[in-house]
Amino acid sequence: MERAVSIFFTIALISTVAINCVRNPLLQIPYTPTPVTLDELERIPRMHIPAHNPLTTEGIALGKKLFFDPILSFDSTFSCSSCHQPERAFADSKAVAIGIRLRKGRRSSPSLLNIGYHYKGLFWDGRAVTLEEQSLHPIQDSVEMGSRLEQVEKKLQQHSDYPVLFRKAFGIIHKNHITKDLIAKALAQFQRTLISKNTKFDQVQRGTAQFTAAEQRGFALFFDTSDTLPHSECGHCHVDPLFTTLEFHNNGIQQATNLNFSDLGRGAVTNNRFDNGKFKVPTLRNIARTAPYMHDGRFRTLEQVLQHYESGGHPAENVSPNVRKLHFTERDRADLIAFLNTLTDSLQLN
Amino acid sequence: MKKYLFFLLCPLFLLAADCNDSEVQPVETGTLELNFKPAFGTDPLVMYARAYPYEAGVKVKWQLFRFYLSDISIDHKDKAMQAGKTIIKDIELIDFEAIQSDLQVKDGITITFDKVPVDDYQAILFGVGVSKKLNETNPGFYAPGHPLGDNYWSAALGYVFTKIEGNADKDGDDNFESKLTFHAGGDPYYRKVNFEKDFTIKPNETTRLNFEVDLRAVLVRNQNDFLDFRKVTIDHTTKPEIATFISDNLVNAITLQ
Repeated sequence: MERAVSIFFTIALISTVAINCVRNPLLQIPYTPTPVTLDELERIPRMHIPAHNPLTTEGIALGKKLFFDPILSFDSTFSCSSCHQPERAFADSKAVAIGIRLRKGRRSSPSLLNIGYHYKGLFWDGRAVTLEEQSLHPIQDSVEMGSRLEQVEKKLQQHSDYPVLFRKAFGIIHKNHITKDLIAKALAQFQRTLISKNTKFDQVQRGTAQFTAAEQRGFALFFDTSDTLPHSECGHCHVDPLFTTLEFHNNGIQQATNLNFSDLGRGAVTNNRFDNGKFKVPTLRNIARTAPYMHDGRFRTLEQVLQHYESGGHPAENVSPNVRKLHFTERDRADLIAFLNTLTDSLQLN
Repeated sequence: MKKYLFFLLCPLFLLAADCNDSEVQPVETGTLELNFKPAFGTDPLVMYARAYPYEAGVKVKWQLFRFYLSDISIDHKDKAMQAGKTIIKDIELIDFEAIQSDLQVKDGITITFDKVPVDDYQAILFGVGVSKKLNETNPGFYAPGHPLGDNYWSAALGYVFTKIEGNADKDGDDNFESKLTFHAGGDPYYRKVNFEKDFTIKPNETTRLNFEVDLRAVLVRNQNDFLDFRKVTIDHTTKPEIATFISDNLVNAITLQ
């Protein structure tokens, strides 16, 4: 009798699972994520990958599809890649970001290359701590993608492809399990793979290429390594190999009295008046591809950027002491720019 | 066959019994806190907001003062019980950049060491700068947020041991238009310092040692011997005499209260 009951329940269980599988095709798709190890930059702390979001082939592929898909925006016209274009080092060519319906943002789109290393805060003002947190900001920002997260979740749940991709990446068992948290995780995974490490500068460091005379002189000017050349003080904030310290500084581009800048930058996040007018030091990798420059895109050319630093910038109580009057010759400027051009790499997305 | 097996296993049993007898007893531990308060002469050192009189009629405001401590060690009092010194941390960064009010000066910067062996101690010692062994590493050896994850000078293949940055008013017009940047680093500028003081680490209790770091004493030895900001406002260890001056003074500028 006992045996008969046991067989009955076993058959019932198998039938239930079988029926569920037929009704829910997601369960027929195996969930076997493939771990991914990054080929990382050297001489900087290893990228922090949160334990709750390990990199997988499937997660990265999903993140990449989401990144380039306008479905995340309110009217499905605008994707992350609209502002972060691969051919422009994942930045764009605009002074400030332009979002859905041509809405104008306040700041320029920063390059996303090596963004996985930015552990001191993301965005120009550092308001997001992790890439998972950061990823959801632009989707909801009214001047960027203008969506509501519930709306995005719903669109993805009803999509013909995404439930399968979320199943493969995160093992969801029902399409309603596509949530903002998983969207953020996928986008973060993809962004962590955007590593720039094959510029001419990197090749010279590895001994597989040589600088020209002008580039070598520009290197010495940039890093203040020569006693006979003027110092540029660039290397204090633009430390290699990231070419940023990831810190926040006022570099004297904004004029203000009593630290009341039109854009408070970091100060609006920390509520510390001495952080007013500070912005994250941007990477100089691929700088030749990311004009215009500064958080508000005020400089169209590298020559204008150098001119600003030579002037010492506008005074303020919190301007970095490393921004000071400089004295360059025409040759110095040309050689510095020749060196900056060696920071361009050929990262191509597969 | 059984007889041979007995003789084979016998030493193993004896060895196992011996291991149990000599099992290491857990060492009792307590907590040691080191607190560092910044000063500029007799005044608390407040970054950004406050102006300080300097030598030769110059006034200064500071934005950054940070330095490394290496091989932080404590010296056991009873040498018979414990041999020599115990290193409690290989590296720490003392960074006063965020000290921007009197209240923050009062709190200072505290570094905490748990699991310090219970004992009586007679001194605390550390290197000021990055020890030679650690200075041969680079940020790639460390996780994000580690003290040695920053302040690396790739061109010099080493760390900047001490950073001092601020602004000077040289002509008394209250415009602090002269930028000051002094960065010292490199093995020749590593210094060791020893503070003799009796203290005890008690089980599950916290012992605190209070240090003061006087930035003025880093820059001024006496009224005839100081970094003259009318003549020099920047150095990246390009002039060895300036890096030597800063490094020699820094060890004397740290006092145990």
